[in-house]
Amino acid sequence: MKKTAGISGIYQDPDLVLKAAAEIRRAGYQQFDFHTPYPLHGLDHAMGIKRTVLPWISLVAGVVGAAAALHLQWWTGAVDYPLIIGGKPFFAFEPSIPIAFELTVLFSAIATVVGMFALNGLPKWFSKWQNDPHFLRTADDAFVVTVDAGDPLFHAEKTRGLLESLGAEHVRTVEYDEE
Amino acid sequence: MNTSADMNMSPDMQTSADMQTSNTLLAGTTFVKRLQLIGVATTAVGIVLSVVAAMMDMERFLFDYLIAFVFWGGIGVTSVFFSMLQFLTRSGWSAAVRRIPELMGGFTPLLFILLLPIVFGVGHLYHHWVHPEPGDVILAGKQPWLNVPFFVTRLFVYVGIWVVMYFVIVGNSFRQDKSSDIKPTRRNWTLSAPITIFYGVTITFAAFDLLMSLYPHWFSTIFGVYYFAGSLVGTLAVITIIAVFLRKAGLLGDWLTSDRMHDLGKLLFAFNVFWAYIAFSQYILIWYADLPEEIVFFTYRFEHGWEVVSLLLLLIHFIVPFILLLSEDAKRNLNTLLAGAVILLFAHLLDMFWLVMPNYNHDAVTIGWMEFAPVIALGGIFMLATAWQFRRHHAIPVRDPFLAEAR
Repeated sequence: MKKTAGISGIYQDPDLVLKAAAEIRRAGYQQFDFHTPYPLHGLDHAMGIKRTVLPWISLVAGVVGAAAALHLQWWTGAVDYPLIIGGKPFFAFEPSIPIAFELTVLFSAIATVVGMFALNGLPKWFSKWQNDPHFLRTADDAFVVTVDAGDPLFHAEKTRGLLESLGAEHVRTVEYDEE
Repeated sequence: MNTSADMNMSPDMQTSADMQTSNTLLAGTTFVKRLQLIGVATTAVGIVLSVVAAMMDMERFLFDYLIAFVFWGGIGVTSVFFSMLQFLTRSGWSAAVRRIPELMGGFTPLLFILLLPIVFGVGHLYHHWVHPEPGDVILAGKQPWLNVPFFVTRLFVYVGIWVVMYFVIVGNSFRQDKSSDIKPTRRNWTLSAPITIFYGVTITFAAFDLLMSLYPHWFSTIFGVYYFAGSLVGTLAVITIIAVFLRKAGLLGDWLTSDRMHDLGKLLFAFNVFWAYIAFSQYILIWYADLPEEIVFFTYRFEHGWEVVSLLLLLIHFIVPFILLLSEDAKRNLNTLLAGAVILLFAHLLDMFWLVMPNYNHDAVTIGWMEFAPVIALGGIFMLATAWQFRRHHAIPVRDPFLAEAR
C-alpha cells in the first residue's frame, strides 16, 4: 500500500536554502528537513534546531574516565598490591596524570561517537524518502527540502504552494510502500 | 570558495561591501583614540615608575625589566608568527581577524631599542655565567656559547630576524590592501614556510638565552617550546581582548561575527591546553628522574613561598580558564570570553614572573609595585605602537583573496 511521506523540492542556491529554512520555520512547521551535499553553515540556526546534548555526554564520560584512571592507579598501586618502585610514592598525582589524560580522551571520544550515533538514530535501515529521485542529487549538486506528512500543518496544496513561493523547484509529493 | 565576482552579482551585497571598506579604516574612531590616550598615560606612568625603581634597586629592576621584555616581546613577535601561520595554512576563516595581530606586530621593530637595558644589565642578570665561580668546570664547558660578546650578538640577530619577518610577512599583507592582483599574498604563501623555520629556531634559542641561562647549570630541552606556547597564549589573549573591545565598540561587526569570536576562543583554549601539556611534560620528566641538577629548578619554586606562586600558576594558567572556556556558549559570550582572555594574559605574565624572579631571590617571593613598573611601561608602548598602526592601516585585509570566505 502506498503512503504519503510528504513533499520534497530542490534548491540549487544555498542562500535560498537558508532563507527558505527560516520561512518554513516561521510558518510553524516542525517536521521538515534539508538534505545537503555538504554541511551548510547557519542552516541549523535558520531551521531552529535545538542544541544537542552531546557535549554533556562527552563531558560526563571524560570526568568518569579521569576518575576511573585515578582510582585504578591508586587502588592497584597503593591499596591492593603496593610495591616500592624507584623510591617513588605508592600513589602520586604526577605519574597518574598521563593515564588519567588518556582515559579522559578515550572515554569521552567513545561516548561522543556512540552518543552521536544514538542521538541521530543511526544506523538507519530505511527512510521514507529513500525512493524519491530527488535524493540522488543530494549526493551531487542539489539541496533537497522535505516536509513530513506527519506535520500538524501539512496540507498537500498549501505546503506545496509555500515551498514553490520560497523558490523550490520540482516540488512533488513523495510516496513510499508500506509493508 | 566565494569570489568577489559572486559579490558583484548581488546588488544589496555590493552596497554592504562598500560600507565595509569605508568602515575598515578606524583612524578617527573613539576606540583608537582611547587606545592611544591610555597608551600615552600608561607609558608615562610606567617610565616614571621604572626610573624610580631603577634608582632604588638596579639589580631588582633589571630582573623586572626582563619579565616585561620576554612578556611583551614574545607577544609582539608571536603575533607576527600568528599572521604567518595563516598564510602557511592558506586559512580562509582568519582573514577577518588576521589584521589585528599584524597591527600588534608593529611593536616588533622597537625590540631593537628595548633590548638595550638587557644588554647593559647582562652582568647583573646573567652573573652566574658572566662571572662564574672559579673551578666551575660545567660553566667553563659552556663558555663557548655563554660569553658576553656572542650572547649580545645573538640577541640582536634574533631581533633582526624577527624584524625582517615582520617587514616581509606583514609588509606583504599591507601591500595586498593596495594591490589589484594577489601577488603579495602569493609571495607570503611561498615565504611563510621557510620563515616559520627561522621563527621556530630563534624563539627557541631566545628562550634558552634570555630565560634558561639565568640559571646556567639547569637545562631543559623543551624549554623553548614552553616559552613559545606561553607566548602564543598571551598573543591570542591580546588578539581576543582587542577583538572583543572592537565588537563592543560596534566596529567591524560584519567581520568579527559570533563565529569568529568562537574561533578565537577555541584557539585560546586549545593553545592553553597545549601550554599545560608542555609544562607538564617538562615537570614530569624532571620529577621522575629527580636528578639534583634538574630538580633544582622546581625545588627553588616549591619552597619559601614560591609554592603559592606555583599553585596559583596551575590554577589561573590552566584549571580556571579550562573550566571557564570549555563550553561553546562561554566562547561565544563576549564577557566570558573577555574574562578568559584577561585571566590568561595575566597568567602568562605570572608565568614569566615565575620563570625569572626565583633567580633574583629564591628564599622569598619578591613582589611589589616595582615588579609591575617595566610591564606597565612596555605595555603602554605596545598599546601606542598598536594604536599607531590602527591609524595607518585598514583593520581588515580589505583585498585578501579569502576575505569573502571569512564572512
